[in-house]
Amino acid sequence: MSLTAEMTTREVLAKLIDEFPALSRMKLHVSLNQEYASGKEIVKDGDEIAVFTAVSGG
Amino acid sequence: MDFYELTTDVLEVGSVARRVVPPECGATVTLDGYARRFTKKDGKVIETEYLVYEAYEEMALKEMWKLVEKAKTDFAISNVGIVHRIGRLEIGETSVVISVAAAHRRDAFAACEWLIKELKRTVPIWKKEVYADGEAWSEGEAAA
Repeated sequence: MSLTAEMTTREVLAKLIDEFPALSRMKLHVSLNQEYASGKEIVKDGDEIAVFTAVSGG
Repeated sequence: MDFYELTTDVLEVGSVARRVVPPECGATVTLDGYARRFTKKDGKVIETEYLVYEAYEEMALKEMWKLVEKAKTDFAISNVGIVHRIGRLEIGETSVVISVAAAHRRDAFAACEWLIKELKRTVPIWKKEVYADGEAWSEGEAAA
């Protein structure tokens, strides 16, 4: 998936769900550089983004 | 000392607990979380054969460190140790150990309960339950 400049973490998640609609049924979290993202962060070249479902450790 | 680790080795509860104890403490509270055979789900009892834990390791360690720091700020405790096992676990094997040493037991109990509750909510580790006739990723207790 390619991203355009100045996208927020919320916009990246929305684009991902557009491309993979099955994801819309899941509760997803986004992290940016291994920190939970609020949705407002601007994604820069070289950043590490992760999208994952509710955690279940313990 | 404080510590937070992921391991694929068998977890020994006692050895984790002993590592947190400084001389000013009078009580260590240790949670031994282990793989459960029977789970109630939608009114039925499901039998688990084994578990598989996966982690987003770098972020999991960062989140575990945040929990240690926050617990030491918010509770009157001296040391915290958290070790979570990942990979395949047989029934009865320990998946997570949280040890909290404090001058007094009340603070250690409160901090330990807070730590496991937050770990289940925020640390990116996932549990898959494998049954005789299928498998399912656990949905966890609460979303972050």
